[in-house]
Amino acid sequence: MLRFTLSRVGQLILLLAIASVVVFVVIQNTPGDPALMRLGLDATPEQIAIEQARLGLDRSLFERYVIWITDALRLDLGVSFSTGQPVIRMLGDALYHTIRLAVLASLIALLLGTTMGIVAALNRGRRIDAAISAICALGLSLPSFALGTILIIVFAITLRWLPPSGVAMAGDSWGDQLGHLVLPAITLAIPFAMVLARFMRGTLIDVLSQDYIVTARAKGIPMGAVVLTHALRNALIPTITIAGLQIGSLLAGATVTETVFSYPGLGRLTIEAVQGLDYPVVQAALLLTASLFLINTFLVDLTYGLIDPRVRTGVGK
Amino acid sequence: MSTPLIEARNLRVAFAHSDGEKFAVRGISLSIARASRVAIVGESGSGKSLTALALLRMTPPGSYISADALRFEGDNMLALDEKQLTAIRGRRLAMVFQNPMSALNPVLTIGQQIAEQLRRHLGMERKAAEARALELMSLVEISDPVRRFRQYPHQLSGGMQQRAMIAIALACNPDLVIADEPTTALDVTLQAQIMALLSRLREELGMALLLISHDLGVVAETADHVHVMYAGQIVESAATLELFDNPQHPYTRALLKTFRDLEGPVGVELTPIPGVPPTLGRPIAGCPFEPRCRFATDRCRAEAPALRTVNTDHQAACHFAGSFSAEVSHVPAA
Amino acid sequence: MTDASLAPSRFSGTVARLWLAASRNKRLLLGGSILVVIIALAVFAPLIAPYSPIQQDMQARLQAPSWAHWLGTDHLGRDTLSRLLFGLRPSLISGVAAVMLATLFGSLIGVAAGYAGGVFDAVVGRIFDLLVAWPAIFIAIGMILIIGPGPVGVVLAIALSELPVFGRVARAVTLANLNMGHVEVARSMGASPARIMRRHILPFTVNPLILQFAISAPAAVVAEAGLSYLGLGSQPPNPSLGMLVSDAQLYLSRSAYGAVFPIIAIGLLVLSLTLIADGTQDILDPRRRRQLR
Repeated sequence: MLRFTLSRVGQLILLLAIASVVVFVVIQNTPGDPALMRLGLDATPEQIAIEQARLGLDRSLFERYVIWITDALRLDLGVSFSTGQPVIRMLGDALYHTIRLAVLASLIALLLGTTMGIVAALNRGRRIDAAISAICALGLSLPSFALGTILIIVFAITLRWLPPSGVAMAGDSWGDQLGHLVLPAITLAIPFAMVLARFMRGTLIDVLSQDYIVTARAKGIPMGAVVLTHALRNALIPTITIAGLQIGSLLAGATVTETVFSYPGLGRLTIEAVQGLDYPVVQAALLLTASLFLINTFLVDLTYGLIDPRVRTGVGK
Repeated sequence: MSTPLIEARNLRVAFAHSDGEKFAVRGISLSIARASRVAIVGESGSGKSLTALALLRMTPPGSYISADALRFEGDNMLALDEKQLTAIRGRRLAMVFQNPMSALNPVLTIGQQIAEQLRRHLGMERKAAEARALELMSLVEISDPVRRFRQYPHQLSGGMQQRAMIAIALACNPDLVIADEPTTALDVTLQAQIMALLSRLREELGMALLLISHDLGVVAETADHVHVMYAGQIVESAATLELFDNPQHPYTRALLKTFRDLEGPVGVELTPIPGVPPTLGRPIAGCPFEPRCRFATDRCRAEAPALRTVNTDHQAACHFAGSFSAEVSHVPAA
Repeated sequence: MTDASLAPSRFSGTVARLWLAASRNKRLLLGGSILVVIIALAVFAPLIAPYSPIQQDMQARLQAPSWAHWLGTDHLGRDTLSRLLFGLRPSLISGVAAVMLATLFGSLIGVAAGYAGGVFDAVVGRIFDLLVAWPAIFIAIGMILIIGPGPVGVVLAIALSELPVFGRVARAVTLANLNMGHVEVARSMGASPARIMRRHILPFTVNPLILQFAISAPAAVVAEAGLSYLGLGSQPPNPSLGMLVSDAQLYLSRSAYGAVFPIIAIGLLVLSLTLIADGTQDILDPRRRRQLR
């Protein structure tokens, strides 16, 4: 187990390093003065000259990378071109909002997806199973911006139940805060839930056809308990893994969804920075999102190792 | 004579199919008395495992059971609802399956799977169930039970897994244990150990044992009474010694010949039974073994032989039953 | 539906057999029909579109559907129907092009990695891990930063993000076949690696790759639409479905039609591709075929 963890940690660090290199290289190829990027547009020519020397723009690419990455690890990510604010602060705010959204979306998706999957599996071949499969197909057919827009049209504009965009102010009531989160969370949750439902269904059906389920029934365990104690425990293991990976993709889906709802999360920050050519922010945001992704994958891997007893105790005798 | 534990008359198991029904078990009758040792012998596809599952009313989805009578300790199994059945299964009627690696739940510990029975059927508290489970594990000769209790199936050897399965079956002191090919997935040395264990436990605990097997050797040592199945029917039924000494059905005789060839001196040619068993399907007009039988006549093709008594407690379903000579050579001692 | 129950036909051979199975699969038929209609609309757009997609008419802004404008107009008075018809093109072309690129390069790299093994395989594996870790959106952003927005960047980005999947499929098939007798026989007869790959491995990759193509196609179209929505795809005034929605979103309270119609179009397109993918899986995936009894 320990060896498993250590090797995964090693891989994670390696991938993070490679990711940072890629981001760095991409940004180096964009037009713009790196020194300007670090100091912001208000810097004086003298400051720029000093910074250029410090960044070692005359030095090799590798050395520049090292300087950049050490800065980044000290959380010194420069200043935004657009707002003049330190990038780290903008990232922090955006991350906070994205996390709130992701948490709510994940909860909705987990509840909805697993329930749908279980119901479909237990009623395999009957109408409700077909209905759930059809819903899944439909739910996955619409890209998130399409789904989000429809939700806005229905709930914000026609019914006026919920606000169409933005986020509540810090002092606002819980209701207001939740109100702003609901539509984007649902938009994010639905594709997630559909994937989960399909996967849960398939896995549970597989599990239910296993020999040990026959044994469990022969032991006189009623069907409900068979499903709960024996079947689900097995089916949840790979499902949790998939769910974990999907949470990683929430970050990607969030970009579009946040744009649809003008929600001030990490995704929208990135897009606006790209459109506004605000390179310091783009660079930092890309690095942060890549890191979050990789860390998420790593955590999922680790979790799988913990929850599957076969991996945990080592395969074989 | 007390009520037999199991009484089955004309038991049939059929599968619904787009071309009509396909019968896997075609009307067998048997009874199992308390504390008796009965075996059902047959090749794969003979319907013996399905018969066992039918006794538990656990045949696969898409199949259905019908019988003139199917009773367990006097209760009509066909009339019970699922709730009543779950009260019987595992508690009064238990089953040991063929492949212990796949028959045990991989994500629950051995201890949990044994204790589950005690808590569910006997209402024991966790601590008490744990203690009793450990006792059971010792009973089935699992070494170091305390450590094994917390282990998962994949951490145990095949033999130990099967012992665990036996412990699960015995947990609630059932009246009947059905063992479906309990040693087929194990190697030969283990086979002997496990069968010896089953025999010993049966004697100590006094339950009945129904052994399903294709292996005549195993049957010879463990059963008092044998039913031979072929193509979903019982073709011969007798006490073990009587069957081996005086087989009166061509299939049984052929099986015994093959068995003796195997056990006999090296160099003797094996005599396989020519042909293949009939596939699952429509009812057969005549004798199911007719295509492969050396003694077959036109009558065999046209008319299905009924079970006829050839001796005390010995029936065979052959038109010529009773006219075959008794075997001279005996099964060599193990 | 087992092979045995298919009606006997004049044709022999795998292609004919598959074709027969395909023509009976409801999902394929439905998905295929919808897709054919959509493709036809896109191809014949210049002929059927009533107006030019970029012609503005400030007198007729944000109109609801009418006889003059079947689907209404957008905020610059452009006819929505015409823009929609022309907007189908980037979705189809970019989506398909991206997946084709991914198939081509992914499979080549995958087979090579599987065949070569060793360091090359390990390095490729890590690169794939990285590409998988980054969703299409971020790869697109990186691409856009380097070469600027537009369909080329989008296609490349989507291709890159789908590449690892194809690579892995191809690699798996390669590894499975390497251990089989026919490759060893070929090697012992002195066949070059290229020949082995071409004749002994590539044919086995066809089925799984087709399957993966079908599965990835809807995702690619969704990605293209999303990127266009974010303004990273076709640039104005050229229409794309995603852009139509983002344009319309600013005026939702005045007229929702501008957003609804392109959304329906995208939904139908993706649905048809998903149906085709499911149907293809029914036919080609060996596990599925058994389940169909």
